[in-house]
Amino acid sequence: MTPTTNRLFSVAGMGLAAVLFLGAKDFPDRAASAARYIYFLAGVLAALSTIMLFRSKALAGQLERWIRSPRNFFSTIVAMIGYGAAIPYLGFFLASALFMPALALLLGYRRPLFIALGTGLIVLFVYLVFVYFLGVPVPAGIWEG
Amino acid sequence: MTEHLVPAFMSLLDPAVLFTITIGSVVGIIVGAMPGLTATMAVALLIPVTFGMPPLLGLSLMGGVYCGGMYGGAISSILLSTPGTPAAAATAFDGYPMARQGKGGTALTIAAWASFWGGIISTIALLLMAPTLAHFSLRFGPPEYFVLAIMGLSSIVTLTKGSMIKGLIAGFLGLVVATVGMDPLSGYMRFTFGQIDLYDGVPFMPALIGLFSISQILDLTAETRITEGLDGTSLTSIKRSKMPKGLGGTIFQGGIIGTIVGMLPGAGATISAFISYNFAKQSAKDPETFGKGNPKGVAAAESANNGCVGGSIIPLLTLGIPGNSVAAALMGGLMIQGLIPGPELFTRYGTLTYGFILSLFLANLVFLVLGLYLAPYFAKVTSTPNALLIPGIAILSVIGSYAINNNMFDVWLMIGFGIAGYFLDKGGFSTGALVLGLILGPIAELGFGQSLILSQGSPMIFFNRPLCIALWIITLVLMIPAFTGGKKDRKSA
Repeated sequence: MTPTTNRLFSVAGMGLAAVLFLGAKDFPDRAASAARYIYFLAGVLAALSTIMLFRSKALAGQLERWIRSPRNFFSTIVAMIGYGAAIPYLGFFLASALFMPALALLLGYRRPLFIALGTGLIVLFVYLVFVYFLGVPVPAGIWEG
Repeated sequence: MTEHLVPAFMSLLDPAVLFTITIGSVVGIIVGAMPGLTATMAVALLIPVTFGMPPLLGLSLMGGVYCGGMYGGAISSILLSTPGTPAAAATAFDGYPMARQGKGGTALTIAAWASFWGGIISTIALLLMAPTLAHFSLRFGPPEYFVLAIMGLSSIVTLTKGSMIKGLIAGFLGLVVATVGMDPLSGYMRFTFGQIDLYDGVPFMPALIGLFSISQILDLTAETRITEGLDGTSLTSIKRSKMPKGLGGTIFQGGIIGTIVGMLPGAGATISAFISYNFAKQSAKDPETFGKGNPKGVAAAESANNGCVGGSIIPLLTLGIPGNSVAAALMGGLMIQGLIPGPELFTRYGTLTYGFILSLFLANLVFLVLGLYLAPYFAKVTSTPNALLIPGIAILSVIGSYAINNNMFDVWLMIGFGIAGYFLDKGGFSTGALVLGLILGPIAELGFGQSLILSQGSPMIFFNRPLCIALWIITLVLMIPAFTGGKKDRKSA
């Protein structure tokens, strides 16, 4: 962790404290105690962030690599966002059945039998536990009705 | 009491009761291990099922689910850093590092034994001291709850591995996130930005799954296996999962903490697990090994969360005040059988009530046997290739977040918390401290506000009540090693 990164976190902390402070100013009179609590939290957050800003050099530890495998990291995030976006349209089960093989392939796994088996097991397990036994109404998407 | 115990014990020998307890425990373990499925949900769903059953069968089934569910949360928490229940969040701090060191089987064995003894200790307390303990729990008012929350927050000191400033910032960030939603005293909506899904606050389970599970799978994308870097010998040791020695004191302490905190309505298993973890670390000779795979960390958290089972039932059976949401669902099960909590349960319905209490001992035994037998098989999950494990965990995280409120908003929240948690963790901010702030925020805020109303604005209410003073002293005692440790480090440097 570099001093610069610590300073960035400090500034973000102070920014959040300012937002909280300004937000609590608009609270109505009936919520005065809630506003006091927010002021307290904002004050402590600002104080801690300020300390971190001035001690950022001392707090700098071993340099940590933020993302060790950028390709896999971003593939996973993009796949998860795509999966979340697809669920309302394709339904939970179809979206899951497409997501698991797609992400496994993106992460470099090349054994189709195990991918198919893993996907089948997870989907079946979720169906049995969540839908069949517990009656959770998972999104049906295009299969609705 | 003794006149009811013998017939109660005899009633448990009915094969149907034994079978019901076993089924309940198995269902509980599955439900507990699955993120998003809670013991409350399972017990609530069982209420209509138990309606047509003889009362002891119905209550034993629900008790089995409760006990099994509390233990089951440890399985996914240890193996995948995905707490099946919020109460198992503290288990992940040392359980998951153990799994990464190829000691997943050992961690599961410790969890099974610690959960078992935690459950037994609290059930003994329920059996022998229920009325006395119930009246003690009634002495906890808003000021005591506030100080209890502060005591829980002192665990931040324990959870912080590097900079204390960063740990405190993470904890306060959790408190800030917990302020989103309706103000509990005035009903005013805070920081919801017109989003109806935030009116009840940031849902806890999606945040927990995101911070622990998604941030972890993002980190795993750089590795091929959870146990990467371990040789074959370490991997085969997964199958040999012996219980390490020297955990008895930690387990006993956790069981007692769990029982006491479990009795307090609204406090619950999650807080007790954090407090017990804090106690274990501060009293250990090697506190620096906590968070890196110390078996005592697993034992402390698991004995405390299972200790809550008996504890939460104490005020339920004696006063009709459920200790937590599962106990509230259990109360529904009692009412549907025509059993009204109170002294009559221990006199007129004594055989049934004591039968139910004794069935909890059996439920603990069932999950212990199952847990010990299945631990090596569960632990094999850690040798699954990450390319398969990551999408699998992602699917379970998505359905787990969705199932709480049947709402896709929670899924997006979970993903957001996951990404934020990843970067916060890399930046040296403890996600455990953030979760702690998130859990304790509402309790602290409500206790603080109500206390000041009671005292007409005087903060002295937090310092002039005997229980408050006792809690402050314990909190300070827990904080001392952290600061003296820091001085020692500086001296040795």
